[in-house]
Amino acid sequence: MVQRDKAEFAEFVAGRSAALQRAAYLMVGDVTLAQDLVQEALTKTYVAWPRLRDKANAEAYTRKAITTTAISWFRRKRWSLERSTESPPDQGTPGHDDSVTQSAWLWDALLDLPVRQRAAVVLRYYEDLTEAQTAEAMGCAVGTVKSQVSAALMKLRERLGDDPDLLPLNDLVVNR
Amino acid sequence: MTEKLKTLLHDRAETVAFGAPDLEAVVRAGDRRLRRRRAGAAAGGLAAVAVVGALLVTQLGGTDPANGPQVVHDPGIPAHVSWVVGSVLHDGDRTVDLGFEATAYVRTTTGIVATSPDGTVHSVVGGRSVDVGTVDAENPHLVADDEGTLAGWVNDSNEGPTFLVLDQSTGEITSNGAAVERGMGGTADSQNPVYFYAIDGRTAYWRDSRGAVAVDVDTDDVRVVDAEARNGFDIVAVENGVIAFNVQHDDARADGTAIGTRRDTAMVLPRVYGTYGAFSPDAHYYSGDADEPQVYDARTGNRVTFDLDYAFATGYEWLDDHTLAMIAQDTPKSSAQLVTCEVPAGTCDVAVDDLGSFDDLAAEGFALPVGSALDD
Repeated sequence: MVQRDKAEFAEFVAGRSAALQRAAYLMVGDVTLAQDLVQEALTKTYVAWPRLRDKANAEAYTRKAITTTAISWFRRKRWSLERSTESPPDQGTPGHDDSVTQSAWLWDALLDLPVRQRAAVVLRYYEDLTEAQTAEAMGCAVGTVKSQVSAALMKLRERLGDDPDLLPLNDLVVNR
Repeated sequence: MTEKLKTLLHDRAETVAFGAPDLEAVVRAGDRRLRRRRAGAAAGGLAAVAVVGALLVTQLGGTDPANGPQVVHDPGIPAHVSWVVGSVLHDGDRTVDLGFEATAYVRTTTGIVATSPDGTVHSVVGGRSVDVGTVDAENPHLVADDEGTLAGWVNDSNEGPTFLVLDQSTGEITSNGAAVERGMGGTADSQNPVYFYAIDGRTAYWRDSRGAVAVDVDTDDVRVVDAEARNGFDIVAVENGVIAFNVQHDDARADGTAIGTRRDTAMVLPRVYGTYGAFSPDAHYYSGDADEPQVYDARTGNRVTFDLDYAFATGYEWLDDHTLAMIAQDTPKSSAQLVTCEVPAGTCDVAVDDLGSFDDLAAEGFALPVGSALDD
Protein backbone atom coordinates (compact mmCIF):
# COMPACT_ATOMS: atom_id res chain seq x y z
CA MET A 1 0.00 0.00 0.00
CA VAL A 2 1.51 3.34 -0.98
CA GLN A 3 1.90 6.10 1.57
CA ARG A 4 -0.98 8.12 0.09
CA ASP A 5 -3.31 5.14 0.66
CA LYS A 6 -2.22 4.85 4.27
CA ALA A 7 -3.08 8.47 4.86
CA GLU A 8 -6.46 7.93 3.24
CA PHE A 9 -7.04 4.85 5.39
CA ALA A 10 -6.06 6.79 8.51
CA GLU A 11 -8.57 9.46 7.56
CA PHE A 12 -11.26 6.81 7.14
CA VAL A 13 -10.47 5.33 10.56
CA ALA A 14 -10.53 8.73 12.22
CA GLY A 15 -13.80 9.68 10.61
CA ARG A 16 -15.83 6.48 10.95
CA SER A 17 -14.42 4.45 13.83
CA ALA A 18 -16.67 5.94 16.51
CA ALA A 19 -19.84 5.03 14.58
CA LEU A 20 -18.49 1.58 13.77
CA GLN A 21 -17.60 0.96 17.41
CA ARG A 22 -21.07 1.94 18.57
CA ALA A 23 -22.69 -0.51 16.14
CA ALA A 24 -20.23 -3.22 17.13
CA TYR A 25 -21.04 -2.58 20.79
CA LEU A 26 -24.75 -3.08 20.14
CA MET A 27 -23.95 -6.36 18.41
CA VAL A 28 -21.73 -7.85 21.12
CA GLY A 29 -22.81 -5.98 24.26
CA ASP A 30 -19.32 -5.50 25.60
CA VAL A 31 -17.04 -2.50 25.13
CA THR A 32 -13.75 -4.41 25.03
CA LEU A 33 -15.09 -7.01 22.63
CA ALA A 34 -16.53 -4.28 20.45
CA GLN A 35 -13.17 -2.55 20.27
CA ASP A 36 -11.43 -5.85 19.44
CA LEU A 37 -14.07 -6.51 16.81
CA VAL A 38 -13.60 -3.12 15.15
CA GLN A 39 -9.82 -3.48 15.34
CA GLU A 40 -10.09 -6.82 13.52
CA ALA A 41 -12.56 -5.45 10.97
CA LEU A 42 -10.32 -2.46 10.29
CA THR A 43 -7.38 -4.80 9.75
CA LYS A 44 -9.39 -6.67 7.13
CA THR A 45 -10.36 -3.35 5.58
CA TYR A 46 -6.74 -2.21 5.51
CA VAL A 47 -5.73 -5.40 3.67
CA ALA A 48 -8.57 -4.90 1.18
CA TRP A 49 -8.08 -1.13 0.89
CA PRO A 50 -6.60 -1.06 -2.65
CA ARG A 51 -9.72 -2.86 -3.92
CA LEU A 52 -12.11 -0.34 -2.33
CA ARG A 53 -12.84 2.51 -4.65
CA ASP A 54 -14.41 5.03 -2.29
CA LYS A 55 -15.21 5.59 1.34
CA ALA A 56 -18.78 4.42 0.98
CA ASN A 57 -17.44 1.08 -0.15
CA ALA A 58 -14.96 1.09 2.71
CA GLU A 59 -17.62 1.66 5.33
CA ALA A 60 -19.86 -1.03 3.88
CA TYR A 61 -16.90 -3.40 3.75
CA THR A 62 -15.96 -2.69 7.36
CA ARG A 63 -19.56 -3.03 8.52
CA LYS A 64 -19.76 -6.40 6.78
CA ALA A 65 -16.46 -7.43 8.38
CA ILE A 66 -17.79 -6.42 11.80
CA THR A 67 -21.02 -8.34 11.32
CA THR A 68 -19.58 -11.53 9.89
CA THR A 69 -16.67 -11.51 12.35
CA ALA A 70 -19.04 -11.06 15.29
CA ILE A 71 -21.17 -13.96 14.09
CA SER A 72 -18.05 -16.07 13.58
CA TRP A 73 -16.60 -15.18 17.00
CA PHE A 74 -19.81 -16.00 18.79
CA ARG A 75 -20.08 -19.32 17.00
CA ARG A 76 -16.48 -20.24 17.67
CA LYS A 77 -16.31 -19.02 21.21
CA ARG A 78 -19.80 -19.93 22.31
CA TRP A 79 -19.77 -16.72 24.25
CA SER A 80 -22.39 -16.47 26.90
CA LEU A 81 -22.47 -13.08 28.49
CA GLU A 82 -23.56 -13.05 32.09
CA ARG A 83 -26.96 -11.46 32.27
CA SER A 84 -29.70 -10.92 34.75
CA THR A 85 -32.14 -13.79 35.17
CA GLU A 86 -34.73 -11.66 36.86
CA SER A 87 -38.30 -11.67 35.60
CA PRO A 88 -39.32 -9.23 32.89
CA PRO A 89 -40.87 -5.95 34.01
CA ASP A 90 -44.47 -5.87 35.08
CA GLN A 91 -46.23 -5.44 31.77
CA GLY A 92 -49.59 -4.81 33.41
CA THR A 93 -48.68 -1.54 35.01
CA PRO A 94 -50.63 1.16 33.17
CA GLY A 95 -48.67 4.24 32.33
CA HIS A 96 -45.36 2.62 32.98
CA ASP A 97 -43.11 5.19 31.42
CA ASP A 98 -39.82 4.65 33.12
CA SER A 99 -37.75 4.88 30.00
CA VAL A 100 -34.53 4.05 31.81
CA THR A 101 -35.94 0.78 33.10
CA GLN A 102 -37.48 0.04 29.73
CA SER A 103 -34.15 0.66 28.05
CA ALA A 104 -32.40 -1.67 30.48
CA TRP A 105 -34.87 -4.48 29.90
CA LEU A 106 -34.72 -4.06 26.16
CA TRP A 107 -30.96 -4.18 26.35
CA ASP A 108 -31.03 -7.40 28.35
CA ALA A 109 -33.54 -8.91 25.95
CA LEU A 110 -31.41 -7.91 22.95
CA LEU A 111 -28.35 -9.56 24.44
CA ASP A 112 -30.31 -12.76 24.91
CA LEU A 113 -31.00 -12.97 21.18
CA PRO A 114 -28.89 -15.27 19.00
CA VAL A 115 -26.10 -13.24 17.44
CA ARG A 116 -27.51 -13.31 13.88
CA GLN A 117 -30.88 -12.01 15.06
CA ARG A 118 -29.20 -9.34 17.14
CA ALA A 119 -27.04 -8.27 14.22
CA ALA A 120 -30.08 -8.05 11.97
CA VAL A 121 -31.91 -5.84 14.48
CA VAL A 122 -28.91 -3.55 14.92
CA LEU A 123 -28.38 -3.19 11.18
CA ARG A 124 -32.07 -2.57 10.45
CA TYR A 125 -33.06 -0.34 13.37
CA TYR A 126 -29.81 1.28 14.46
CA GLU A 127 -27.91 1.56 11.21
CA ASP A 128 -31.18 2.14 9.32
CA LEU A 129 -30.13 -0.16 6.51
CA THR A 130 -32.60 -1.51 4.03
CA GLU A 131 -33.27 -5.23 4.01
CA ALA A 132 -31.06 -5.56 0.94
CA GLN A 133 -28.23 -3.62 2.60
CA THR A 134 -28.62 -5.70 5.75
CA ALA A 135 -28.44 -8.88 3.69
CA GLU A 136 -25.27 -7.61 2.08
CA ALA A 137 -23.72 -6.81 5.46
CA MET A 138 -24.67 -10.20 6.88
CA GLY A 139 -23.69 -12.11 3.78
CA CYS A 140 -27.09 -13.73 3.44
CA ALA A 141 -30.31 -13.54 1.41
CA VAL A 142 -32.93 -10.83 1.92
CA GLY A 143 -35.42 -13.52 2.95
CA THR A 144 -33.05 -14.59 5.70
CA VAL A 145 -32.87 -11.03 6.98
CA LYS A 146 -36.67 -10.86 7.09
CA SER A 147 -36.96 -14.11 9.00
CA GLN A 148 -34.13 -13.16 11.39
CA VAL A 149 -35.70 -9.78 12.15
CA SER A 150 -39.15 -11.31 12.54
CA ALA A 151 -37.87 -14.00 14.89
CA ALA A 152 -35.97 -11.39 16.90
CA LEU A 153 -38.99 -9.14 17.29
CA MET A 154 -41.16 -12.10 18.29
CA LYS A 155 -38.72 -12.97 21.06
CA LEU A 156 -38.44 -9.38 22.22
CA ARG A 157 -42.20 -9.13 22.27
CA GLU A 158 -42.45 -12.30 24.34
CA ARG A 159 -40.10 -10.73 26.86
CA LEU A 160 -41.35 -7.15 26.78
CA GLY A 161 -45.01 -7.37 25.86
CA ASP A 162 -47.08 -5.95 23.03
CA ASP A 163 -46.14 -2.34 23.40
CA PRO A 164 -46.58 -1.05 19.84
CA ASP A 165 -44.59 2.04 20.69
CA LEU A 166 -41.65 -0.04 21.73
CA LEU A 167 -41.40 -2.65 19.02
CA PRO A 168 -42.38 -2.51 15.35
CA LEU A 169 -45.28 -4.68 14.29
CA ASN A 170 -44.92 -4.55 10.56
CA ASP A 171 -41.67 -6.51 10.48
CA LEU A 172 -43.23 -9.35 12.43
CA VAL A 173 -44.75 -10.75 9.26
CA VAL A 174 -42.42 -12.28 6.74
CA ASN A 175 -43.60 -12.03 3.17
CA ARG A 176 -41.64 -14.42 1.01
CA MET B 1 -43.70 2.69 15.22
CA THR B 2 -40.06 1.73 15.27
CA GLU B 3 -38.92 5.07 16.66
CA LYS B 4 -38.78 3.91 20.25
CA LEU B 5 -36.65 0.87 19.45
CA LYS B 6 -34.37 3.05 17.39
CA THR B 7 -34.18 5.65 20.12
CA LEU B 8 -33.33 3.06 22.72
CA LEU B 9 -30.59 1.61 20.54
CA HIS B 10 -29.12 5.04 19.89
CA ASP B 11 -29.32 6.02 23.55
CA ARG B 12 -27.57 2.84 24.59
CA ALA B 13 -24.82 3.28 22.02
CA GLU B 14 -24.29 6.91 23.00
CA THR B 15 -23.76 6.06 26.66
CA VAL B 16 -20.47 4.33 25.98
CA ALA B 17 -17.19 6.13 25.37
CA PHE B 18 -14.75 4.36 23.08
CA GLY B 19 -11.07 4.97 22.65
CA ALA B 20 -9.73 5.55 19.18
CA PRO B 21 -8.68 2.36 17.41
CA ASP B 22 -4.96 1.65 17.53
CA LEU B 23 -4.19 2.60 13.94
CA GLU B 24 -0.56 1.52 14.18
CA ALA B 25 -1.62 -1.92 15.42
CA VAL B 26 -4.12 -2.20 12.57
CA VAL B 27 -1.46 -1.34 10.02
CA ARG B 28 1.06 -3.74 11.61
CA ALA B 29 -1.47 -6.59 11.65
CA GLY B 30 -2.56 -5.81 8.10
CA ASP B 31 1.03 -5.72 6.87
CA ARG B 32 1.68 -9.07 8.57
CA ARG B 33 -1.23 -10.61 6.69
CA LEU B 34 0.01 -9.18 3.43
CA ARG B 35 3.47 -10.62 4.14
CA ARG B 36 1.88 -14.00 4.82
CA ARG B 37 0.17 -13.89 1.46
CA ARG B 38 3.40 -13.04 -0.29
CA ALA B 39 5.25 -15.72 1.67
CA GLY B 40 2.55 -18.22 0.75
CA ALA B 41 3.01 -17.41 -2.91
CA ALA B 42 6.78 -17.68 -2.51
CA ALA B 43 6.49 -21.06 -0.78
CA GLY B 44 4.37 -22.39 -3.62
CA GLY B 45 7.07 -21.33 -6.04
CA LEU B 46 9.86 -22.81 -4.01
CA ALA B 47 8.24 -26.22 -4.11
CA ALA B 48 9.12 -26.46 -7.77
CA VAL B 49 12.77 -25.53 -7.31
CA ALA B 50 15.21 -28.42 -7.40
CA VAL B 51 17.67 -28.25 -4.51
CA VAL B 52 20.97 -30.10 -4.72
CA GLY B 53 21.31 -32.45 -1.75
CA ALA B 54 17.71 -32.06 -0.75
CA LEU B 55 15.59 -34.92 0.49
CA LEU B 56 11.99 -35.35 -0.48
CA VAL B 57 9.66 -35.63 2.45
CA THR B 58 6.67 -37.90 2.13
CA GLN B 59 3.09 -36.82 2.40
CA LEU B 60 1.25 -39.49 4.38
CA GLY B 61 -2.23 -38.06 4.47
CA GLY B 62 -4.34 -34.96 4.31
CA THR B 63 -6.03 -32.84 1.77
CA ASP B 64 -3.19 -31.44 -0.27
CA PRO B 65 -0.62 -34.11 -1.11
CA ALA B 66 1.16 -32.03 -3.72
CA ASN B 67 2.42 -29.42 -1.32
CA GLY B 68 4.16 -31.49 1.35
CA PRO B 69 4.67 -29.96 4.77
CA GLN B 70 3.92 -26.44 3.73
CA VAL B 71 2.54 -24.78 6.82
CA VAL B 72 1.44 -21.53 5.29
CA HIS B 73 -2.15 -20.73 6.10
CA ASP B 74 -4.58 -18.32 4.59
CA PRO B 75 -4.51 -14.79 6.00
CA GLY B 76 -7.05 -14.33 8.72
CA ILE B 77 -7.62 -18.02 9.23
CA PRO B 78 -6.08 -19.46 12.39
CA ALA B 79 -3.11 -21.73 11.81
CA HIS B 80 -3.48 -25.37 12.59
CA VAL B 81 -2.07 -26.96 15.68
CA SER B 82 1.10 -28.80 14.81
CA TRP B 83 3.14 -31.52 16.48
CA VAL B 84 5.69 -34.21 15.69
CA VAL B 85 5.80 -37.82 16.83
CA GLY B 86 9.02 -39.51 15.78
CA SER B 87 9.57 -38.49 12.17
CA VAL B 88 5.93 -37.70 11.43
CA LEU B 89 4.87 -34.07 11.33
CA HIS B 90 1.19 -33.44 11.97
CA ASP B 91 -0.04 -30.11 10.64
CA GLY B 92 -3.77 -29.79 10.96
CA ASP B 93 -5.22 -32.70 9.02
CA ARG B 94 -2.01 -33.35 7.10
CA THR B 95 0.69 -35.78 8.12
CA VAL B 96 4.15 -35.83 6.61
CA ASP B 97 7.10 -38.16 7.14
CA LEU B 98 10.06 -35.83 7.43
CA GLY B 99 12.56 -38.63 6.92
CA PHE B 100 14.29 -37.90 10.22
CA GLU B 101 13.24 -37.88 13.86
CA ALA B 102 12.59 -34.28 14.84
CA THR B 103 13.91 -33.50 18.31
CA ALA B 104 12.84 -29.84 18.13
CA TYR B 105 11.25 -27.60 15.53
CA VAL B 106 9.87 -24.15 14.78
CA ARG B 107 7.47 -22.83 12.19
CA THR B 108 7.80 -19.89 9.83
CA THR B 109 5.31 -18.66 7.24
CA THR B 110 7.26 -20.64 4.67
CA GLY B 111 7.94 -24.03 6.26
CA ILE B 112 9.56 -25.58 9.30
CA VAL B 113 13.08 -25.77 10.66
CA ALA B 114 13.83 -28.87 12.70
CA THR B 115 16.69 -30.68 14.38
CA SER B 116 17.43 -34.39 14.23
CA PRO B 117 19.06 -36.47 17.01
CA ASP B 118 22.59 -35.96 15.65
CA GLY B 119 22.16 -32.18 15.84
CA THR B 120 21.64 -31.55 12.14
CA VAL B 121 19.40 -28.58 11.39
CA HIS B 122 16.96 -29.22 8.54
CA SER B 123 14.99 -26.62 6.60
CA VAL B 124 11.79 -28.13 5.25
CA VAL B 125 10.01 -26.10 2.58
CA GLY B 126 7.57 -27.17 -0.09
CA GLY B 127 8.12 -30.90 0.32
CA ARG B 128 11.93 -30.80 0.44
CA SER B 129 14.34 -30.96 3.33
CA VAL B 130 17.77 -29.34 3.19
CA ASP B 131 20.57 -29.56 5.80
CA VAL B 132 21.42 -26.02 6.86
CA GLY B 133 23.51 -26.32 10.02
CA THR B 134 24.31 -28.06 13.29
CA VAL B 135 23.28 -27.49 16.89
CA ASP B 136 24.30 -29.03 20.18
CA ALA B 137 22.61 -32.42 19.81
CA GLU B 138 22.02 -32.70 23.56
CA ASN B 139 20.33 -29.32 23.82
CA PRO B 140 18.76 -28.43 20.49
CA HIS B 141 17.47 -24.87 20.45
CA LEU B 142 15.85 -23.06 17.53
CA VAL B 143 14.07 -19.73 17.35
CA ALA B 144 11.74 -18.21 14.74
CA ASP B 145 9.06 -15.64 14.27
CA ASP B 146 6.14 -17.70 13.04
CA GLU B 147 4.79 -14.59 11.33
CA GLY B 148 7.96 -14.14 9.31
CA THR B 149 10.38 -16.18 7.25
CA LEU B 150 13.43 -16.18 9.55
CA ALA B 151 14.68 -18.93 11.84
CA GLY B 152 17.87 -18.91 13.89
CA TRP B 153 20.14 -21.03 16.03
CA VAL B 154 23.63 -21.12 17.53
CA ASN B 155 25.59 -23.15 15.04
CA ASP B 156 27.85 -25.71 16.67
CA SER B 157 30.96 -26.26 14.58
CA ASN B 158 34.66 -26.90 15.00
CA GLU B 159 35.35 -23.20 14.50
CA GLY B 160 33.29 -22.37 17.54
CA PRO B 161 29.72 -21.21 18.03
CA THR B 162 28.18 -18.74 15.58
CA PHE B 163 24.72 -17.22 15.33
CA LEU B 164 23.06 -18.30 12.08
CA VAL B 165 19.86 -16.85 10.66
CA LEU B 166 18.08 -18.60 7.79
CA ASP B 167 15.56 -16.81 5.60
CA GLN B 168 13.34 -19.69 4.48
CA SER B 169 11.78 -17.64 1.71
CA THR B 170 15.13 -17.31 -0.08
CA GLY B 171 17.32 -19.99 1.48
CA GLU B 172 19.89 -17.32 2.41
CA ILE B 173 21.84 -17.89 5.63
CA THR B 174 23.65 -15.08 7.45
CA SER B 175 26.32 -15.71 10.06
CA ASN B 176 27.34 -13.50 12.95
CA GLY B 177 30.01 -14.39 15.47
CA ALA B 178 31.64 -11.01 15.92
CA ALA B 179 31.13 -10.83 19.68
CA VAL B 180 31.54 -14.49 20.54
CA GLU B 181 34.57 -15.18 22.68
CA ARG B 182 36.42 -18.38 23.40
CA GLY B 183 35.18 -20.29 26.41
CA MET B 184 31.62 -19.00 26.37
CA GLY B 185 29.00 -21.57 27.39
CA GLY B 186 26.44 -23.01 25.01
CA THR B 187 23.36 -23.72 27.10
CA ALA B 188 20.87 -21.35 28.69
CA ASP B 189 21.99 -22.12 32.23
CA SER B 190 25.74 -22.08 31.63
CA GLN B 191 28.11 -19.34 32.73
CA ASN B 192 28.45 -16.52 30.20
CA PRO B 193 26.62 -18.37 27.42
CA VAL B 194 26.21 -17.79 23.73
CA TYR B 195 22.44 -18.00 23.46
CA PHE B 196 19.77 -17.19 20.88
CA TYR B 197 16.78 -15.65 22.65
CA ALA B 198 14.32 -14.91 19.87
CA ILE B 199 13.59 -13.58 16.40
CA ASP B 200 11.08 -10.76 16.06
CA GLY B 201 10.35 -9.87 12.45
CA ARG B 202 13.77 -9.08 10.97
CA THR B 203 15.47 -8.55 14.33
CA ALA B 204 17.42 -11.26 16.14
CA TYR B 205 17.81 -11.18 19.92
CA TRP B 206 20.73 -13.07 21.38
CA ARG B 207 23.30 -13.04 24.15
CA ASP B 208 26.98 -12.67 23.36
CA SER B 209 29.90 -10.99 25.10
CA ARG B 210 28.01 -7.64 25.00
CA GLY B 211 25.04 -8.99 26.94
CA ALA B 212 21.59 -9.23 25.39
CA VAL B 213 21.60 -7.52 22.00
CA ALA B 214 19.10 -6.87 19.22
CA VAL B 215 20.63 -7.30 15.77
CA ASP B 216 18.99 -6.11 12.56
CA VAL B 217 19.39 -9.13 10.30
CA ASP B 218 19.45 -7.03 7.14
CA THR B 219 21.87 -4.30 8.24
CA ASP B 220 23.78 -5.92 11.15
CA ASP B 221 22.98 -2.85 13.24
CA VAL B 222 23.30 -3.77 16.92
CA ARG B 223 21.46 -2.39 19.93
CA VAL B 224 22.39 -3.52 23.42
CA VAL B 225 19.13 -4.44 25.13
CA ASP B 226 20.50 -5.56 28.48
CA ALA B 227 24.22 -5.35 29.18
CA GLU B 228 23.67 -7.16 32.47
CA ALA B 229 22.07 -10.24 30.89
CA ARG B 230 23.78 -13.18 32.55
CA ASN B 231 22.40 -16.26 30.84
CA GLY B 232 19.84 -17.69 28.46
CA PHE B 233 16.94 -17.05 30.80
CA ASP B 234 17.13 -13.25 30.91
CA ILE B 235 14.90 -12.76 27.87
CA VAL B 236 12.01 -15.18 27.44
CA ALA B 237 10.16 -13.87 24.38
CA VAL B 238 9.97 -10.89 22.01
CA GLU B 239 7.15 -9.72 19.74
CA ASN B 240 6.70 -6.39 17.96
CA GLY B 241 9.57 -5.01 20.02
CA VAL B 242 7.90 -5.93 23.31
CA ILE B 243 10.16 -8.10 25.45
CA ALA B 244 9.42 -10.54 28.27
CA PHE B 245 12.34 -10.22 30.69
CA ASN B 246 13.04 -12.68 33.45
CA VAL B 247 13.24 -10.80 36.77
CA GLN B 248 15.29 -11.99 39.69
CA HIS B 249 15.90 -9.89 42.79
CA ASP B 250 17.39 -10.50 46.17
CA ASP B 251 13.81 -10.15 47.35
CA ALA B 252 12.19 -13.21 45.74
CA ARG B 253 8.73 -11.75 46.28
CA ALA B 254 9.39 -9.33 43.45
CA ASP B 255 10.59 -12.01 41.03
CA GLY B 256 8.63 -12.83 37.93
CA THR B 257 8.39 -11.72 34.33
CA ALA B 258 8.59 -8.11 33.20
CA ILE B 259 6.89 -6.96 30.01
CA GLY B 260 8.10 -3.92 28.10
CA THR B 261 10.58 -2.55 25.61
CA ARG B 262 13.20 -1.88 28.29
CA ARG B 263 13.98 -3.79 31.44
CA ASP B 264 14.03 -0.71 33.68
CA THR B 265 10.57 0.44 32.65
CA ALA B 266 8.91 -2.94 32.09
CA MET B 267 5.73 -3.96 33.94
CA VAL B 268 6.43 -6.79 36.35
CA LEU B 269 4.08 -9.76 36.52
CA PRO B 270 5.01 -11.03 39.99
CA ARG B 271 5.58 -14.74 40.44
CA VAL B 272 5.15 -15.48 36.74
CA TYR B 273 8.12 -17.74 36.19
CA GLY B 274 9.17 -19.90 33.32
CA THR B 275 11.92 -20.55 30.85
CA TYR B 276 9.47 -20.48 27.96
CA GLY B 277 6.88 -17.87 27.06
CA ALA B 278 5.11 -16.54 24.00
CA PHE B 279 3.40 -13.32 23.00
CA SER B 280 0.31 -13.23 20.82
CA PRO B 281 1.23 -11.95 17.32
CA ASP B 282 0.01 -8.46 18.20
CA ALA B 283 1.89 -8.62 21.55
CA HIS B 284 -1.37 -7.92 23.38
CA TYR B 285 -1.21 -11.11 25.44
CA TYR B 286 1.60 -13.10 27.02
CA SER B 287 1.51 -16.77 27.87
CA GLY B 288 4.01 -18.07 30.39
CA ASP B 289 5.14 -21.59 31.10
CA ALA B 290 3.47 -23.25 34.09
CA ASP B 291 1.37 -26.26 34.99
CA GLU B 292 -1.76 -24.19 34.54
CA PRO B 293 -2.55 -21.55 31.94
CA GLN B 294 -0.76 -18.32 32.78
CA VAL B 295 -1.96 -15.79 30.26
CA TYR B 296 -1.83 -12.07 30.89
CA ASP B 297 -2.92 -8.93 29.13
CA ALA B 298 0.52 -7.51 28.35
CA ARG B 299 -0.84 -3.96 28.50
CA THR B 300 -2.64 -4.10 31.84
CA GLY B 301 -1.15 -7.09 33.62
CA ASN B 302 -4.59 -8.58 34.14
CA ARG B 303 -4.72 -12.37 34.09
CA VAL B 304 -6.99 -14.16 31.64
CA THR B 305 -9.03 -17.00 33.10
CA PHE B 306 -10.00 -20.13 31.19
CA ASP B 307 -12.90 -22.53 31.28
CA LEU B 308 -10.66 -25.58 31.71
CA ASP B 309 -10.62 -28.55 34.03
CA TYR B 310 -7.28 -30.28 33.60
CA ALA B 311 -4.66 -31.44 36.07
CA PHE B 312 -2.08 -29.91 33.75
CA ALA B 313 -2.46 -27.38 30.94
CA THR B 314 -0.02 -24.88 29.54
CA GLY B 315 0.01 -22.60 26.51
CA TYR B 316 2.80 -23.12 24.01
CA GLU B 317 1.94 -21.35 20.74
CA TRP B 318 -0.32 -18.55 19.53
CA LEU B 319 -2.23 -19.47 16.38
CA ASP B 320 -3.49 -15.91 15.87
CA ASP B 321 -3.99 -12.77 17.93
CA HIS B 322 -6.73 -14.41 19.99
CA THR B 323 -6.11 -18.16 19.83
CA LEU B 324 -3.65 -19.95 22.08
CA ALA B 325 -2.72 -23.61 21.65
CA MET B 326 -2.23 -25.53 24.88
CA ILE B 327 -1.14 -29.02 25.78
CA ALA B 328 -3.22 -30.50 28.55
CA GLN B 329 -3.74 -33.65 30.56
CA ASP B 330 -6.65 -34.77 32.74
CA THR B 331 -4.59 -36.86 35.14
CA PRO B 332 -0.87 -37.61 35.35
CA LYS B 333 -1.41 -40.95 33.57
CA SER B 334 -4.04 -40.00 31.03
CA SER B 335 -3.55 -39.20 27.37
CA ALA B 336 -2.38 -35.71 26.50
CA GLN B 337 -4.58 -33.41 24.45
CA LEU B 338 -3.97 -30.30 22.36
CA VAL B 339 -6.50 -27.61 23.17
CA THR B 340 -7.16 -24.28 21.47
CA CYS B 341 -8.39 -21.46 23.67
CA GLU B 342 -9.84 -18.10 22.77
CA VAL B 343 -8.37 -15.06 24.50
CA PRO B 344 -9.74 -13.11 26.27
CA ALA B 345 -13.03 -15.06 26.14
CA GLY B 346 -11.36 -17.98 27.92
CA THR B 347 -13.34 -20.67 26.11
CA CYS B 348 -11.52 -23.74 24.84
CA ASP B 349 -12.00 -26.58 22.36
CA VAL B 350 -10.14 -29.86 22.11
CA ALA B 351 -8.15 -29.88 18.87
CA VAL B 352 -6.40 -33.24 19.27
CA ASP B 353 -8.05 -35.66 21.62
CA ASP B 354 -5.72 -38.57 22.15
CA LEU B 355 -2.01 -37.92 21.71
CA GLY B 356 -0.98 -40.69 24.11
CA SER B 357 0.52 -40.53 27.58
CA PHE B 358 3.62 -38.44 28.13
CA ASP B 359 5.56 -41.65 28.79
CA ASP B 360 4.49 -43.05 25.42
CA LEU B 361 5.21 -39.75 23.69
CA ALA B 362 8.65 -39.55 25.25
CA ALA B 363 9.41 -43.07 24.05
CA GLU B 364 8.30 -42.28 20.50
CA GLY B 365 9.86 -38.83 20.38
CA PHE B 366 7.44 -35.92 20.69
CA ALA B 367 7.95 -32.29 19.78
CA LEU B 368 5.86 -29.14 19.70
CA PRO B 369 6.80 -26.04 17.65
CA VAL B 370 8.61 -24.31 20.51
CA GLY B 371 12.18 -24.78 19.29
CA SER B 372 13.41 -26.97 22.12
CA ALA B 373 13.12 -30.58 23.21
CA LEU B 374 10.20 -30.93 25.61
CA ASP B 375 12.29 -32.48 28.35
CA ASP B 376 14.39 -29.31 28.56
